[in-house]
Amino acid sequence: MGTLEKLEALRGGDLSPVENLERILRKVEEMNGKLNAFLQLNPRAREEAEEVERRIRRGEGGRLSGLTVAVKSNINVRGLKATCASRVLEDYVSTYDAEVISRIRREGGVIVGMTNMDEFACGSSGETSAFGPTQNPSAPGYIPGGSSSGSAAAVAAGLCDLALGTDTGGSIRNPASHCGVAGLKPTYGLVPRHGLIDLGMSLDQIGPLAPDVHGLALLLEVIAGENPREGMMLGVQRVSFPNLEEGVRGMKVGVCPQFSSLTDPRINGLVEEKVEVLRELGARVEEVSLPHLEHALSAYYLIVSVEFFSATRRYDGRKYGKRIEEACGEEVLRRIAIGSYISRKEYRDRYYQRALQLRTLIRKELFSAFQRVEVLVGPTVPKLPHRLGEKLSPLEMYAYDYLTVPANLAGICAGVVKAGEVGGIPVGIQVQGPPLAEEKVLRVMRALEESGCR
Amino acid sequence: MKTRGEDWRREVERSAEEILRALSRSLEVLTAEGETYQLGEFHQPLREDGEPSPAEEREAFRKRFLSLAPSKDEEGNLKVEAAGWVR
Repeated sequence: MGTLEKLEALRGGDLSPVENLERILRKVEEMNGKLNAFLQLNPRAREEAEEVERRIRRGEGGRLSGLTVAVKSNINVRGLKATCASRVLEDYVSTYDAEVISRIRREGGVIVGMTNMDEFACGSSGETSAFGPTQNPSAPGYIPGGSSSGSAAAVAAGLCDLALGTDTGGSIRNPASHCGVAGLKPTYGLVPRHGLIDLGMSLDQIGPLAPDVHGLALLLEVIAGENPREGMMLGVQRVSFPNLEEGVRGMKVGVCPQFSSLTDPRINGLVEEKVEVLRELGARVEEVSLPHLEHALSAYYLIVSVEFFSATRRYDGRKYGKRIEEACGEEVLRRIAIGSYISRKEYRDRYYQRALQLRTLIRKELFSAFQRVEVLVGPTVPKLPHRLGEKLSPLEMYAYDYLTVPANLAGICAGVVKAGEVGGIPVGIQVQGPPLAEEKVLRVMRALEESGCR
Repeated sequence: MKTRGEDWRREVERSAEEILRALSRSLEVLTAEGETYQLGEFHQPLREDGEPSPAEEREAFRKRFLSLAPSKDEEGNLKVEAAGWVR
């Protein structure tokens, strides 16, 4: 059942929010031991579902009307643990709801629980969690991708209807691609960040994961829009996507040779097939060049190292949990040490400032591409996921992010939908658009979804 | 901090230097560019009209700010006390 059909069933009384939750919880009970997608279930979920049921009877079910939502463990949900999948915060119980959670509750969403993730979002594989790796339900034995590993796996296995993830350099899109679900990183400043435990303040965005594009659009409509308590928002009151079925006829779609040059040919093959589908559906496909794209990764890792180091200074063991250097895992400690080393050199050489200048170059280049085309279509991750437990060097691991970081650097929106499979492993196609072009991005994703997968 | 050997420290420094080297190589292509922090150039929430502040206004603010700063370096950058964790 697709998201809209389920929503209709909930609203029409054919399925009650409590029944929906119980079905979901049965699946969680059956599968979570193996998948490790959830770190904590919401003990009040049934109560919340009952309340939504009463609201639906009063005609006040809201836009979500009892759909279940899983939440990444770096977003505060009152009464639940926001551990960031780390021993540092293993006993930290949130005292308030993040703004996105308040909005989900207001619209009748039922929070199922908190999902697994790479520890403090440090990773692209879902393996660095202090509570064990998440399995990929769509490709058993392979990594689910990260850092929103549990959210993507929960959606893929049907352990929730919708999920929240966060994306600093691809952390929604990468696991969406590997798990064969839909995911979207919204434009920076469209979705409130209040209540998010951040990794890189100038890059992080909260965004939706869903089994289909309608589910993505629905959750984005609920969580997006101005929050007067935040300074870095774009002033958009709300968003609405009523035209997802309008197709792509006449739309200018860009493809970029720099996206495919470092990508596995099997992934490129699937992407090219999908580009052909868009052409057949009436899109005008045009090649655009992003000559400096390769420099995005070096700017990204410099910025994120410095911002992460700065963000972790609050975990000094006095206010929040344990002292991070004493309780965190290897990858987090490594990144703190790298951030510390770079920050020490920062004053003399101004690396951060220069990385921000490089970021401007990437942004200008992308913006200039968007003068010619409305969206850019290409691969999401340059390689297929590795097997769980396989050892990769840090540089090999960073390569996973090559195609996703430019969107974070430029603050634009980008979504992923399944393009097909290579040897049974899902592969996602990425659609990027200029700031606040979510409607167009979702329309292209919907057309791709509708065309099916081989 | 967790006890780590000299090898670990060297590996971290190598990784950090690699990030710095990669950035330095990338900077060779860079002509003069402003810095992008967040997307403040689209919307300035502190202004009633929401419009981004003009470059001259930002420059004037920077000058005023530095004129009040307790300590500056020779290039006019604000100097702050180094935190305890900086070796």
